[in-house]
Amino acid sequence: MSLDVNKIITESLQTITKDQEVITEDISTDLKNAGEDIKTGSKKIFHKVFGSKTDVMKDELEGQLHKGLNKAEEVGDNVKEGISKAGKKVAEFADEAKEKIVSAGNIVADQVKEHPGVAAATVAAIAAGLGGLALRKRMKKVKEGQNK
Amino acid sequence: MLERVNALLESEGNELVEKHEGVLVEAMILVNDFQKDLKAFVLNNPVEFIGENTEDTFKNIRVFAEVATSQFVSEVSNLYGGIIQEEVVVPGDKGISEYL
Repeated sequence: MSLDVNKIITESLQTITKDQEVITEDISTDLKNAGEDIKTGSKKIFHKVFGSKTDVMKDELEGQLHKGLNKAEEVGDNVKEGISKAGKKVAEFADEAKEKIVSAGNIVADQVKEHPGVAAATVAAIAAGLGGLALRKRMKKVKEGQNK
Repeated sequence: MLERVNALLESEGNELVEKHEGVLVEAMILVNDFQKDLKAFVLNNPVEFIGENTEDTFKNIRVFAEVATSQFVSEVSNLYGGIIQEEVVVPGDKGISEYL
């Protein structure tokens, strides 16, 4: 019984870890898309505002804008890295928790191993009880059939 | 009546009981705690027990509990009896292990 519980917990933790990876990936994609949107939008605004200025001034401003955009992307990458690190920590924590749970499960399993006779007696008793119950149900059906 | 009681108290069986009191107490605790297993099983498998009405459901649980407890007592007796009877070999019912 304890092994089944371990399986369920392990699967749940795996699902959480996978979900966390998907969320990190989603955030990263959103940041990338936001960066692209800013880049496109900024270019449009730049051309609208400075379209009539000289080419030199245009190039200089464009350079500054690119620098700003690069900086923004860098910040975005740092955020992404931070999220990834945090995600890894969560995953590590999940792994630790999983180990602890598995360890606790093993203790229960060991206890069952130490007292296999008692576990077998319990299973045998439950099986016998279900047998008795099945017999009652069958007898009841027979009785009902006779009454009809 | 008292003569019979005195005879029982003075019998070898009584000595055996006194010698292995710890084992017997452990067996009694196991049997006493078995009701928790039964309750858990019934609550985890309600479909097996639900009948046409409350009375029928009660009877289902009662039959299951009585048969299971009887078997459990038999199994525990064999299990712990083996420890007590390590010196006195008495052939008897081996419980479920006899059929395996």
